[in-house]
Amino acid sequence: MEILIRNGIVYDPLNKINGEVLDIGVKNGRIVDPSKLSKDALVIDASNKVVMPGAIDVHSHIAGPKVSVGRLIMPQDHYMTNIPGDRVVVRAQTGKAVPNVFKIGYAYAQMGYTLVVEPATPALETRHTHEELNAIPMLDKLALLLVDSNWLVLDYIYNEDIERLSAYFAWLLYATKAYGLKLVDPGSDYAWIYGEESLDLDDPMPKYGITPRDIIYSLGLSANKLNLPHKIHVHCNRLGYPGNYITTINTMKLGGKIGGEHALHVTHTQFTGYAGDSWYNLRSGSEEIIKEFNRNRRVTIDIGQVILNYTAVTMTADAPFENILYHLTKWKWSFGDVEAETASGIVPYRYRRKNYVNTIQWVIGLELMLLARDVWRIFMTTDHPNAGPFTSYPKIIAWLMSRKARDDEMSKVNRRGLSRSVLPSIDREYTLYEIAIVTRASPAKLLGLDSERGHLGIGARADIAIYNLNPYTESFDRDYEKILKAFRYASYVIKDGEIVVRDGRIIKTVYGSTYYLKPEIPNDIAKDVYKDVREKFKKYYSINPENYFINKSEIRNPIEVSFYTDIR
Amino acid sequence: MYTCKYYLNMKIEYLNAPLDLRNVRPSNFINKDLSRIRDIIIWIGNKKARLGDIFDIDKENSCNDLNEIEINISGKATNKIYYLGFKMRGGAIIVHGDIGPFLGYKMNNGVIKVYGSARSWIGAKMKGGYIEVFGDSGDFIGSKLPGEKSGKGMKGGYIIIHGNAGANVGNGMSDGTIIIDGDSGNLTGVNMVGGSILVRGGSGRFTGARMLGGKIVINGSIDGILPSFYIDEIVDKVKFKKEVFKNRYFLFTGDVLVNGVGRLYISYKNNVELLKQYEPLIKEVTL
Repeated sequence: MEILIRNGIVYDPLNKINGEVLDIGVKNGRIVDPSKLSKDALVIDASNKVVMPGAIDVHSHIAGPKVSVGRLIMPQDHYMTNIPGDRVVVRAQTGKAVPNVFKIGYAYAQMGYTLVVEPATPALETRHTHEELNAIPMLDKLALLLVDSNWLVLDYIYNEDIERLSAYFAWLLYATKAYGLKLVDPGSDYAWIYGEESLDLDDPMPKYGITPRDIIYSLGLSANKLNLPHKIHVHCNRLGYPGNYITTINTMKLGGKIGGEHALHVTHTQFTGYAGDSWYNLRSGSEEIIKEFNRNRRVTIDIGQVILNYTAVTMTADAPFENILYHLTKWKWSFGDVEAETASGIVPYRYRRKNYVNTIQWVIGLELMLLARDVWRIFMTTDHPNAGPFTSYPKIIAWLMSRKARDDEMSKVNRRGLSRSVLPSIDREYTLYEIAIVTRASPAKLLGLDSERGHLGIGARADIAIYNLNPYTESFDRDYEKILKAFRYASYVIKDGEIVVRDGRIIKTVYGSTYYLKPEIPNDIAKDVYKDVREKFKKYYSINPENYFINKSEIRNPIEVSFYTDIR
Repeated sequence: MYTCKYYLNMKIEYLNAPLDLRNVRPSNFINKDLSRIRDIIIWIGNKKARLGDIFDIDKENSCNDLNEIEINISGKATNKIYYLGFKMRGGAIIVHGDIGPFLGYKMNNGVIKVYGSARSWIGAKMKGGYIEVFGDSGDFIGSKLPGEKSGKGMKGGYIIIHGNAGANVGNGMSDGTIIIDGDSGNLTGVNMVGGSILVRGGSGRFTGARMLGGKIVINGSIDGILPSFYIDEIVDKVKFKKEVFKNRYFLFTGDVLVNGVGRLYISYKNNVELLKQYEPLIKEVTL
């Protein structure tokens, strides 16, 4: 199928195109020079409309065992939210806080998103994650592995054997068809098994005696050694405790020590940016974090913006914190334990506008975004479904682009919380170019996929979103409703060269592909490590490594990313 | 009173899928001519349809006031109607026949009368208004949805059932009144936070389980009292709204499992065997 997008206002930060009126040609799922199209190409008139590459979400829990539990724990979320599939092309959608797989795919596509990262899957249960990712339509996906409390990993770190640790990761990533390494409150799930509370960066772990700092540092070195396209993805220690911003800053400093570009990604920084020493005198630690962020070029952060007056379902592998959250909410709690690997907790939580703490949480996310000097290293997320649904991204874009949108929300929130923050004094407004950076270009760079994603250069994948906005004739700072509407329901969305959304309506259900890594390591090291893994499996696991291995045939449209490593 | 009347008569005799009438409420009928009313979107199972496809619609007088509108629904397959009166703000709906689940779900104001039986979830999460059912009804009257916190159920208004009711009457209700002329099933007033329930007939097991507050009056026989309820006192009369029952009632408080202070009145006349064992306990307290 050939498509010509005519006269669109193009924003393409990776190719340094800032609002130029250009034609874009699409042929066989790739972007081509418009002059190479035949005469019978389908023409989309994009005059007075914004054309951007397909957006990328770097952190959104869309699949896996904990998402299924999240659906079960919130039955009331599915009453009266059912949208029957009224045409042959659209499947039925249900759910608000934790939607079903079809709604995830469709709602993302309607907003112009085409690649979503499932950021935490236990290696043992990744088969389930892949089954669920396969069922999500419209999107390309990839999954990150939870490795921080894995006993095999801890054994290697304890022996300071970075070479073998890297080789084990090379085997593990290929065996589970995952894309990267995720650390959730490093070491805490292991400590939790022994009845201890969550650890700070320098607290020794039980039995092993190593600290979370050692885990992050070793995994960072190992990721560098493997040349992983996306290096480590860290959920910091002491998440959710007042005064935890110091831990976050120390973790970010570790990124500088590890070295390399994008050495460390600190995720949902809002949850780890609290200053003050109790819930009563909590305040925002965003200024201190941003000071370190602006100084340290090795780290990237995403915000995890809270959406107020909304019942979220928090789901994380940070099991000790979920226990504490359950005792705060006194509602319901589900706890999961994955043998020898990790644990998880699921607790529903309602963010209230009039609540002091929730207001501080809301403020921190926006402050981080608005104070950051380098927008190429900061990302817009809600950590769906922990802080808010991904369907609220247009709201966040409006808050970033319009001072008035922020003022309107600020007039409704807790006054005491607001008076303790700097948000009311920030005048910065993002431009569409900067929005294109934080949602398209820099996520593609972070994931190491910038050769074919996140831009509209020739040869890139034809994932294109067209929004009904004209920055030259309209001004959005006063009339932010336009932003909300345009970014929630895109005018056109093209996925792999096919039109899937027109005027905000799904017109075709397509299934995207799943990325996974294949690090090339020398054969003798691979055999040696596999022998080691077999022994450890006999000792720790209830299953064989053969059953652990996920075949390529179990994944819908797999894309193998093969690369050379520094292991000799 | 209701000067402006609409008559919706079902054309078909049999339906094998739920008929979702959440858009049929007086506020959607106001200032609309009949052709636009026939275009109101309804769902038959997972298929979209127009109101005019299923119903013959007739009209008597026209008016601009919401509270003067009365919608009469009749036909043979009315028991397949779901979500009738959803988020209703005023006016009246009258059903000549049986009705399906979620009648008056999240209703705010107005009147619904059913000259027949009803299924489950009558007045679930309702905030105000009046629902009267002349036949029997199913489970979960004035209830919250499963998974929600206690107190998220019915928040106001009246529900009157002239027949028998099923289980879970007033599950998680925080205010309002439920009156059942017949018997009620198990778990009457479970998770209740406030409001009042009157059962003129008997009640099943686990009455008032996990109740935090509110008032339950059982006039008939009851299938046992939970051990987490304590006998408080014996009274000679009970006031329920404007009614006064001049009988001997045993007053229990509970549920102590959740530190509740709900009041459970049980008539002595129909439960002599059961309540006899509590008589020495109350004497100990008074001495």
